[in-house]
Amino acid sequence: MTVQPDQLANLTLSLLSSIALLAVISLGLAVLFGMMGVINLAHGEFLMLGAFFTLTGVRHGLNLWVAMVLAALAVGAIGVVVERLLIQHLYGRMPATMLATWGLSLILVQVVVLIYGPASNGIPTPLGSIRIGDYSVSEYSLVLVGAAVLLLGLTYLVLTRTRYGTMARAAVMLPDMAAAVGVDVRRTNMLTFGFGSALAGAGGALLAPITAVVPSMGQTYVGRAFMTVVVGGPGVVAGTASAAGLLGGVNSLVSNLTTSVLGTAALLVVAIVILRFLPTGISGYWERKR
Amino acid sequence: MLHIDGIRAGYGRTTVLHGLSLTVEDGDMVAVLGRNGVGKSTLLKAMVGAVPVTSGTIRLGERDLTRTRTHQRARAGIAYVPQGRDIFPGLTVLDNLRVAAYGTRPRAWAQALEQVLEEFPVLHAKRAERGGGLSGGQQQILALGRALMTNPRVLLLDEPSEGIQPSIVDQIAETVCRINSERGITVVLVEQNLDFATKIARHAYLMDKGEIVRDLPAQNLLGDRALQHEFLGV
Amino acid sequence: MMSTNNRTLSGSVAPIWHRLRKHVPVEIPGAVAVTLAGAVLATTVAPFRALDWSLWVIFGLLALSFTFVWGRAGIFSFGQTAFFGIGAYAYGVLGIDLFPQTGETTTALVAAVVIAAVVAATLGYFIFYGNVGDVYVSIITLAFTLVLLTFMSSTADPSYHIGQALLGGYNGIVGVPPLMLPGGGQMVSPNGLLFTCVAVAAFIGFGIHLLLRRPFGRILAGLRENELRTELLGYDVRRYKLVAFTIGGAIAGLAGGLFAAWGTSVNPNVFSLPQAALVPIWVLVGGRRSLLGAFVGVAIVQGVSDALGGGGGSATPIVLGTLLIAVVVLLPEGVLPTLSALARRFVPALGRASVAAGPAGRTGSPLGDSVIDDSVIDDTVIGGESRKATSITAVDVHKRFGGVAALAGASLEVAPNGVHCLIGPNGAGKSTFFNMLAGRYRPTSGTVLLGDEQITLRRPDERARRGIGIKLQVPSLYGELTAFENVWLAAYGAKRDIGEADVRARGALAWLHLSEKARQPAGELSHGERQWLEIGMVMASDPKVVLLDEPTAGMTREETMRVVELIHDLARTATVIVVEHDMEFVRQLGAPVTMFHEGRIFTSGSIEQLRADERVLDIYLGRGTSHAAH
Repeated sequence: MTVQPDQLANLTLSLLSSIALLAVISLGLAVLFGMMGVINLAHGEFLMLGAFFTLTGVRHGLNLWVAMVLAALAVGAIGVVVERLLIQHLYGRMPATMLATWGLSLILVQVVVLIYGPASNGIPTPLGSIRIGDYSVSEYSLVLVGAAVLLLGLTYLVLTRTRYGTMARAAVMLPDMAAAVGVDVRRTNMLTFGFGSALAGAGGALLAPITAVVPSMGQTYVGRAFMTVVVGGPGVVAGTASAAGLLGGVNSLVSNLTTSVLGTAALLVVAIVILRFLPTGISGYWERKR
Repeated sequence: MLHIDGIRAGYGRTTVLHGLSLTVEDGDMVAVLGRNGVGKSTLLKAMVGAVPVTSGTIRLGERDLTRTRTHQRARAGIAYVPQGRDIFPGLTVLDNLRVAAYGTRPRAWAQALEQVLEEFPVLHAKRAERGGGLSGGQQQILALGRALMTNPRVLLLDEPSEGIQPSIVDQIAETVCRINSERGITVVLVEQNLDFATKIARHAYLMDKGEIVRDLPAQNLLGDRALQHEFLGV
Repeated sequence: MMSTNNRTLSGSVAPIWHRLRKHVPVEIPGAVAVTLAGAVLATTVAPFRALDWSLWVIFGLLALSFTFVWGRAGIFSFGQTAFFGIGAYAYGVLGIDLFPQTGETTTALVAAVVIAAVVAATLGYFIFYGNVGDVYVSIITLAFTLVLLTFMSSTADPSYHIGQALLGGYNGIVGVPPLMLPGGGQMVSPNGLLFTCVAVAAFIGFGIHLLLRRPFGRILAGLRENELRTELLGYDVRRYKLVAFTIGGAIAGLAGGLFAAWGTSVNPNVFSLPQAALVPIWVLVGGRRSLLGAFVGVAIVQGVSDALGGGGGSATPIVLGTLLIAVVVLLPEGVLPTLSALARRFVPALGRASVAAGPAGRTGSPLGDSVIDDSVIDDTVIGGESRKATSITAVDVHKRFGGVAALAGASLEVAPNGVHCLIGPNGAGKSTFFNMLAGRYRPTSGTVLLGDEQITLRRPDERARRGIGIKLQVPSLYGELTAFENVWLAAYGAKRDIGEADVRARGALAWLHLSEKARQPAGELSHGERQWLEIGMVMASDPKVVLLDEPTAGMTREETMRVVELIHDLARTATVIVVEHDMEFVRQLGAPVTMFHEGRIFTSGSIEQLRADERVLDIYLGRGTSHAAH
């Protein structure tokens, strides 16, 4: 069977946008987990808030992209508040952090239901579609791929080129030594949580045009985000990129060849197999090899 | 003046320091010596705030630091190089240096960086390399440079000669002496290597079981074999 | 009057009664009593109430599974909901498919339990034998649950079916048959269901209680408190975790099957996050160690939730979420235990009673009323049989970490019943050597022999089973278990016999003069006492070889001298190697000394000989390095 070039292009784009989606919904969680070892079970709800804030922005007449950016910042601010009020008391206590953020997620979902109502909302997909040979491909897929590259690049730059990023990385590697050279570790933790939350908000904002924006949407995505983060390992950018690439690729390929259900199943199986042999994730394995 | 008065400190339920007192004048260079397990490292950790102090006080000049958090002690002028140097392994040499100034000298960090790179050419040469890839001696120089980035008044060194080639060890000793003579930084050195310690310190304190039991000029200790046997040997 | 009869009666009844008490565990009458109470309840209550309460009992079982897995075994698994859902779906599918043939659904229920258990065992195998850290256990079980949710939600297409049962996607399986007992298609009524649920819960609850009173329960407690220590006592911790996880999965699966029978339908919400969040909330409210607390927690939380307006009430998730946060941050032990602790403080009489019973979760320690008399302390110091000491030998061991040679060819043999000290300055290699004897590192080359047997590649728990007792530098006890339980676990690890473990544990405590503190939590002992207790644990495990790393760290002079005595006692039945810095102690011990330097053995002899050797002092002062370290 010959593969036509347009068919190939279509498949490739489908593959890339699958990977990109996985990357943007996981990056925020990867920052929190990779930098601070915090499992934020409200991550799905941060995604959801990003989508809802984008919705509200658009409803108030803002340009879609502007609304997305503001939504991400708003979720970042919420993240800072959450860290100050709740998370900072629980560092080092893993089950406690998971349970407390779980409680938070219950609260967030219900608050959004009370404010927005439980019905589905949506923004029509912007930008329309472009034709590649016999196939019609959504332009938004391209945007998604571009956004993923942008967010990964942004995260990389923030972590390696800014003062905050360097201090935060030092605080992760050797917290006591970082303090001994004057780094206020509590403050960098707060900023890191805010940064990760903002990234989660951005991921949710990017979801808004392509999915039903409902209060319970967080749950749909949080499972995959977790798998990506865990398979990726502690390296924030390298881990997310490689895990999203692998798992997203598997998911997309299997889904296109069979059904989306099997695609999800394949993602799970591959993730568990990788974890069996590389328990610290892909980037954890690379670190040890170095 | 660094003034430590009757501190008790330890880990969990174990008390390691039992009412230790020590005074170091500005600009002085002193060594704290003793066998393993007597509490030398714990003393430095208590000074830096890594180990909680249950009673007694730590004062730097007028300021009582006993209850202050570690990063504020760094900003107050206490620089610390722990055993093993604790270089940030994943950061480059430049970042290792910069991060120390971001917290303590946020406005003047660029000049501080230039100064340190000038003073230590090996750091300039290796500036883009990962900290974890340097040799022991190079890491020690980096740790000293990093400490200088914080504009310290006091420099605390925990066994700086450990794991370093003899030829480099002499260089380190010279560097520390120079830091003291050029910048007037007080040096408190914890060591097991007597020769190295006496190259730097003018005054020696012997510790045993969490207390200071002897204090004498460093040269005197060097000549007193019996004292060495009693507190430093088997 | 009937005196003769009475005498005969009591004469024949009494011995039977005593025999019953001795051999029949107290849990069986307990379970029977609760079941009977359940029967009474079931026959008197209205059907709609019976349905409500059945649900609470089912949830109670689910909570119990989490209490067992987390509160007792220390495994923070999010997977209980997954197994609950698997049990529910399994019952649903098998109920629909098998009922036409068998006319009952009890088989389906049993099969649901088996399926849940098998899945749990498989997942558990991956997790526990794969050496993933604790964090990842939580993550993997959580992800497993979430992916099941996603997976089951997407099966809406009619092509997704197993036999006659359509999986139904979001809407789930409809038409699940209710519970039907074998023998004639008799549908179990709501009241009957209540009785069944109570009976099942009673037997499982008491069954778990019985299981936890056995050595298995103590080992789980040890596992939960201090996994490393448990490994060093010779227990294969992976296996115990797997067993506990599988049992937890089976119980959750049973609850799931009953749930499907209760609701006659199953849908993916059974895997949902809000549903899954309830499980830790129930357990935290009831007290995470308490088996009864699982059911009480359900009653309280569900009661409050129903009062607030049922599952659809707008305030409920907020209240539950806040409750969860509040409990986690403020009352980490759980609501009930904190309240009962407060109550005990204000009402001292309550306090005395509960101290005797032990705080919730303590598996009772039968120290027994027997007075410890000196006849128990015989030639083997603490009583019971003793293995003979063997030699321990290292032959030309090298150990490299990356590019650094920590050990560059060290050879040492210590004869049976010998005592030997290892000294040397920092970085000389004595700690590496010690950890290599203990099995925490594998040598890059060279061999380690226990007697004649090669143990070079053996893990620490395997070495412990072969008779190497290890006390590491950092104190490693079970802080929340009593002193008796600490030494008991050590003894049982070696002997695997309850009676012998009892004898050795009592003997060890007597030897340490800690018998009065037998029932105190080890965490409450002084530092010196805890170090001794750890040495006692080593002794109780009947070692052939004992390795002690800085046993006198942090001790006072008197405590240190006591350790000298203890070591001499140990040497009567074992070979002892001690790493130390405290030269006064080494002097008092009077044993041969081996000094390490730069990864090799520099010299050996008595401490006086080494004292007289000027080269030794020079090495300690940092002179005389023969080659560069870096």
